[in-house]
Amino acid sequence: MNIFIAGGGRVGYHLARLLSKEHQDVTVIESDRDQLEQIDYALDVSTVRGDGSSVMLQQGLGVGNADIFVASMGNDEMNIIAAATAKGLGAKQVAARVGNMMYLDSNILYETIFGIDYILSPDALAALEIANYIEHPGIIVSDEFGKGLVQMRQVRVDETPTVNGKTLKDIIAPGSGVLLGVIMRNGKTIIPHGDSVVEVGDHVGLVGKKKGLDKIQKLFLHEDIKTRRVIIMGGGTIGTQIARALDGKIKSVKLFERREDRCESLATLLKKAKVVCRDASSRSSLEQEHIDAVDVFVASTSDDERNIMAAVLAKELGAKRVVAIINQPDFAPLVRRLGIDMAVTPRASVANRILRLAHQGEMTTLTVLDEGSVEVMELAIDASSPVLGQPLKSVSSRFPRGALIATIIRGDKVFVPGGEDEILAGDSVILIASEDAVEPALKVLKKK
Amino acid sequence: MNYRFLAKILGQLIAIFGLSFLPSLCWAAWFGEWDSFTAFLESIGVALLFGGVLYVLGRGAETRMYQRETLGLVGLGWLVLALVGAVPYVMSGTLGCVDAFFESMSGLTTTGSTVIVDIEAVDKSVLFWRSFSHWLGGMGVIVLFIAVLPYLGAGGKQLFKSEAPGPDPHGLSPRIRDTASILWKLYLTLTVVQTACLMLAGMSLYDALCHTFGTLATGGFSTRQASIAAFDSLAIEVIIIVFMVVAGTNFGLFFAMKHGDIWAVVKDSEWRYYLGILVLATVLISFNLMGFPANGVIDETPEAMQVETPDFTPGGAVRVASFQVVSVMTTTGYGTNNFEKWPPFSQLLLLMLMFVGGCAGSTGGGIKVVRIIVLCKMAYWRLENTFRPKTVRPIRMGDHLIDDGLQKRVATFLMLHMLVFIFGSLVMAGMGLPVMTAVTAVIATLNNIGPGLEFVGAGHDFHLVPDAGKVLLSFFMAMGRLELFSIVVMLHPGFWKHS
Repeated sequence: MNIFIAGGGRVGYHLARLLSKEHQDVTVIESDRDQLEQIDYALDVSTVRGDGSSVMLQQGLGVGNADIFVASMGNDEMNIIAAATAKGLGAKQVAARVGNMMYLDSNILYETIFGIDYILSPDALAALEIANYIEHPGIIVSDEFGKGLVQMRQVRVDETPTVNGKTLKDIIAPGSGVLLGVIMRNGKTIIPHGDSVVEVGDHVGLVGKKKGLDKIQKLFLHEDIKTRRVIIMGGGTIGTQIARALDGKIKSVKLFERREDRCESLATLLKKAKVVCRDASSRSSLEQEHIDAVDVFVASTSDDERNIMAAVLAKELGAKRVVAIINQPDFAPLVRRLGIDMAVTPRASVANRILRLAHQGEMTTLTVLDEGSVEVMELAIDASSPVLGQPLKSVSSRFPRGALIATIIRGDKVFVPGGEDEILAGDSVILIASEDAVEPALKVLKKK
Repeated sequence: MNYRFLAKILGQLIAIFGLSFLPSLCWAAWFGEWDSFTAFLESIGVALLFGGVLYVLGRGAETRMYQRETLGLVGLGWLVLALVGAVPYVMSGTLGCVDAFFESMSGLTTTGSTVIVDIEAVDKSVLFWRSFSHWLGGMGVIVLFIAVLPYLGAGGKQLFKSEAPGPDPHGLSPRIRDTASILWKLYLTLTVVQTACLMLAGMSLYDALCHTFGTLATGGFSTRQASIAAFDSLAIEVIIIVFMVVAGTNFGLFFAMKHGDIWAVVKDSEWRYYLGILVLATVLISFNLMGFPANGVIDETPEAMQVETPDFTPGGAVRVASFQVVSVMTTTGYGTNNFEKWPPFSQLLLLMLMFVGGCAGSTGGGIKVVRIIVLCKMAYWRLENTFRPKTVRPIRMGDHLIDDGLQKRVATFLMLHMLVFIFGSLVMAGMGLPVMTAVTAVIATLNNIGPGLEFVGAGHDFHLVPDAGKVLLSFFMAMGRLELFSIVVMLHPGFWKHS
């Protein structure tokens, strides 16, 4: 697939990295020479120096033949112009990344007017992810497959004696229709088998029917707690978006913001949520707002270090769960060790969305976990597949170690396959694979 | 430095390289040269064993490649491959160890300097290996390796850049593995076409293949003592001239032509300069060979200094001049006429052309046309700058702007090239070689030409050079082929340290 990325900043770089690992043809356009040299050195993509919104440059590079064009430069307007230009030249799918909420709030209108397929905001996607987490505590990511028949949920294992240190075989009884497909521990990803052990603090990925999931999920979560009190630190785009998403749904939402003028405009924007005009990273102000009674504390300023320290402080003072926005992705795996329950990297959220575009047609859905180290995808199996009519245990010798078939969807039926089961034409399978295993696994399942 | 990773990759490289002895093995069987047959069989065994041991040592190493590993891999890789490539010469009893290393390096780096005194006395299968090593080294063993091995990723790109000649090889495809295989396919196609042409012109398959390898890689090894002159055929000379020009052209341009831009080559400004220099030099030398300007201006030239200039008809002059100019400037090194007998002006002009080389992204060696042009433009604008200090003059190559960083790199490259040349000439002279021999031996190896002048000229070979000199010259060949840095950097002690 021929993919162009205008802007090699955090989003662009991350995206280029994920796509080049999948052996897509990627070209990155960037005006900053140092940035460009870094990309050129680290990634197997081609790099072009220039302004991504220039029509002459785009034409010269053949953007008109592109399958996907992504504008991820630092400036919203330039991104919109670049994406609209690419679409005008004939690019099949174009996406523009924006930061300004004005564009995002009316994104569908803007998309229609400029002919852009997707207007995406990393901040808004990150905010959505966090708001989901707050509304459904314990579940970090949830996604639907097979037109809603199957769900995938990533759950954080609480301190429940029922599962800690037990093997998968003992936790999930066969026939429950749920599969534990991936364990993430201390920044490492494990594709488990029956004898793998679950520990407190792991993030586990569960796949199955919604009903079964609700039941199994309780084994890992402390209790079915409801989130009542939330404190959000930082009234920037992400903080505001989270507050707006939770406004009215959660009993108490407090938004901390230091700048007074900003507080005023926030207060008019929000209905029930309270705006507190002070710094949330000081001990006294947190105690004053009863941090020990808070269910979720979110640190969402633009400063990673401040977010991390404030989240650790809040946890120390008694907040039940703490979430931090991390812009520098190298930090994300580390913060779990500090007791932070969830770290969200905005650029990863956007990259995941774009990655789905790249797989359209071949896969119906794709979810990327942990900065791209694991992919969960739904594959439609047609008559040309080389594995048809073979019991899975005979296929497994050819299958890479880091991959497993989590679920088979046949018509309305959903089941976790055993060694005797076969894949039939017309089935959809849900595949969980670590990043190195994706290609080889697809090779086994699909005819090239 | 990640030594284990280096060992793993080198092991694979050597093992794959060992398989390239197979064609020679077949020729040995065809010609019934059974001694050489066993020699090649043993060589394959040696390569597989050596490669296997290295691979086992480095098994399970992390695939982490940084600048050091890349440079180390390319630099060491070429030295080690030259060693392995020398094995057949030794095993077949053709050459001694040092001579074999020299010959092997000369082949791989597409230099074409030889130490073999009587070429026609050597087994044909061994001569085939000599030419085949040109062909492998021309497009790059490591580029081939990248096309074959899947897992190098972005590291492969760095390797590619270290091996492919020219200041900035443009990716033909966003993915380096595709780029590498596109280049090799192109190279293969050209090889088939030229071999067919040469066979139509009357060569045997064996000769046609060997000379195609020598031409397209801008190498210069022939199967005959008299080089191309042995065939005495205008058709063959024309074919070889055309393909030498092709080999000195940026291969990326052929790719563009294949994809609809038919005039890509003609539109390329570097190529126009390249052709311009070739034509101009041919014209000048042709006139000179026809006795214009008159030779022997100084009437009282001592008897000993008088050179006997052969007489050329106008047609004959153009024929030998064009062949020799193209052969020398593209750094091939084939000959149809002994240019040591030519007038001084022609000799010196050829010597200057040796530095120029082919275009960036071609198989030719030398400094490269694009660098020469950029340097000339830089000098010109600096000159203007002295009396119009405030004028801003960007330096362009066609439509491309040559930015400050690139200008500095080009200037640095020239400086390093000159330093190596001066140092090398001094050392060679210190070994007792006459001035002209010492200087041209270094020029011919550092620029990957092949023959120099005087005792290392077209009529002679390098066997007179002392052993230490041969080893040094072999290193110069590797420096020339890899554009200095990958080899020179290995002399820096900090390069090998762990931290």
